[in-house]
Amino acid sequence: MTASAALPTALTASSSQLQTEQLSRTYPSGDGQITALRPFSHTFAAGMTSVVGPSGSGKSTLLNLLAGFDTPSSGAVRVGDTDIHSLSEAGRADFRLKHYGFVFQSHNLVAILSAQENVEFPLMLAGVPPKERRERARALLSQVGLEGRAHHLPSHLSGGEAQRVAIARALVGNPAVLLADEPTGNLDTRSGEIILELLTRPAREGKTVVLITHDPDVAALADHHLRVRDGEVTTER
Amino acid sequence: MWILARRGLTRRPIRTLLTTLGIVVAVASMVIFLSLGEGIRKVFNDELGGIGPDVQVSLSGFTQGFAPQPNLPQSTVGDIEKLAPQLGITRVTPVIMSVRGSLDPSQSAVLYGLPAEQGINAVFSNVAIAQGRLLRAGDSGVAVVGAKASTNLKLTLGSTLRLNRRSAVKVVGILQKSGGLNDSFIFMPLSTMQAAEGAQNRVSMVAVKLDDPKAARRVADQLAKSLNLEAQTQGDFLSFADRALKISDAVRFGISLISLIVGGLAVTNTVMMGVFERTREFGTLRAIGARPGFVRELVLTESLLLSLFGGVGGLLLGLVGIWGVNLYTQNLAGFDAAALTPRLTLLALFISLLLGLIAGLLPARSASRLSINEALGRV
Repeated sequence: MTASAALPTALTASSSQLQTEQLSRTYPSGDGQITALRPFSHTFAAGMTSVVGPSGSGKSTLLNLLAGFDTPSSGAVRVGDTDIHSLSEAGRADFRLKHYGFVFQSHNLVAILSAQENVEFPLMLAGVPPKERRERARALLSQVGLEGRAHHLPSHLSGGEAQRVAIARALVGNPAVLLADEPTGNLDTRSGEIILELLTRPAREGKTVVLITHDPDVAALADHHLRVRDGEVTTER
Repeated sequence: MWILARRGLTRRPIRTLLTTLGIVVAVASMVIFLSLGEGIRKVFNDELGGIGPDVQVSLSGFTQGFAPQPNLPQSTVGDIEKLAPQLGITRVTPVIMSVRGSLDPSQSAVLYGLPAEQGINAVFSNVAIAQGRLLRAGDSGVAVVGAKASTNLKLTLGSTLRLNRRSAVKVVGILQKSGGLNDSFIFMPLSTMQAAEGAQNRVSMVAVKLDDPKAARRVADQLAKSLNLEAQTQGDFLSFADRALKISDAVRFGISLISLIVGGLAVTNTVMMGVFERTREFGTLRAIGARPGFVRELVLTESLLLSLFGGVGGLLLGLVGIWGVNLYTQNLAGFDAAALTPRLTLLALFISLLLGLIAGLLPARSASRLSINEALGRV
């Protein structure tokens, strides 16, 4: 039920480097196939990488494969030396728990848990003792400016606050890779700016942050840039 | 896990409450049905351990039920008395029995004839007189009535009880309430009842008392062999009653199974609805690192919690039902027909948890096999 090992407090850059090797995804369609992602090899450098492209271009397919939510048609996704798609379903879950953080367009908080309990949840899965996880969750909520909202349910938080809780949840395990899919898509400008500020912090600390967006202003904040069009991923300078 | 499961259930309190009530009713009906067997079994065990003959000799054994026809020659008494010294027999009592039935169960009673000079205590050592007197030598045309029979048939001292068109007896004694089966008995002299039944020189059975009741099995075997008759011990009677009760248990359990299945389907429906409603939530849990097994256990825990609450509630409602049944049978026959024994309590809890486990398997499997992408609406 819980991952056997405690969450890593810090991962070295070499052990946490996110890479793709000839990663591709095709879907059967009638008699033929649709190519959602053409073979793509890339090493994600530390810092924030933006992935931009129009709707249906393959951005979400790329993120699904990077996260291990979907299985590639060919190629591999490596974090350090581990090909995440060679792991079992449970093994991939453990791997995500230890090495990944996620921020979705919608906050996706568990409705029946308070803000603090939501942030504690990954630590609970990892078997971190209650006292330690409470302290770490409080610290993260404080970092995102929500220490006073710790015991509120998601339904009692604004959209921006809920997304900040989601960021705290993503960061509480100190992951090496943070995947964010349109994290400001549902927010007003002010809330969006706060969220982007919170996401750039881990990037500045040397973590790999992959930010999927269709907003050029948001993408401009990133250190590195990828563009996806018709399943083709290209690097932009 | 427990907190998540509990809050998952209280998210839709009305639906959870209604489902729990469904299980409560299903378990309660099972408890009440099965408690009838437990109560009757308890009555037999409590009563026959302390009273009744060590061995009873009859022509047909228990094949004619608990009140055999008067088809045994009374001369059997002499045959048994001849064997008494070598078998350690201390008393031989010829008995004639008949069930006085009625469409109204409260008007039914067991007519029990035995030699007046031996007295009722020859077979039922625990009876005591409340009004009037017991049977005594030379009595004829009289009866001593059990407490419940007295109430139900409205018999008081000096009343006349008509046995049939030609025969009647006068009530000379009323027994104290014992809380047992013999509260519904009407005792009378053997000869009076033989005359009423037209069974002169014939008896239903011969009750035998031993100086060592532990030798009952051996004595019964020897009597059966020597006299070419059926001879049963109290143990035989209890196992006969137990076999009959087991068959009856199976029938009653079968009936209650229907309501249990309905309750189980309600649990499956509630948990499945919960899974559908929380598809995105389960997808999120899986995305942030929960194994499929965690989600499966979470859904099963909800299902088990639901059935546990239902099981406990069902036991409590069952207790109320048992109280009602016993109130009725106390008025009817003076004993508690239903009982909630420890084994029935454990059975009810076990069945309700099993119900929860089975009902939760399908939703738990569905939840654990959700595609993260589909659950998060990412396709």
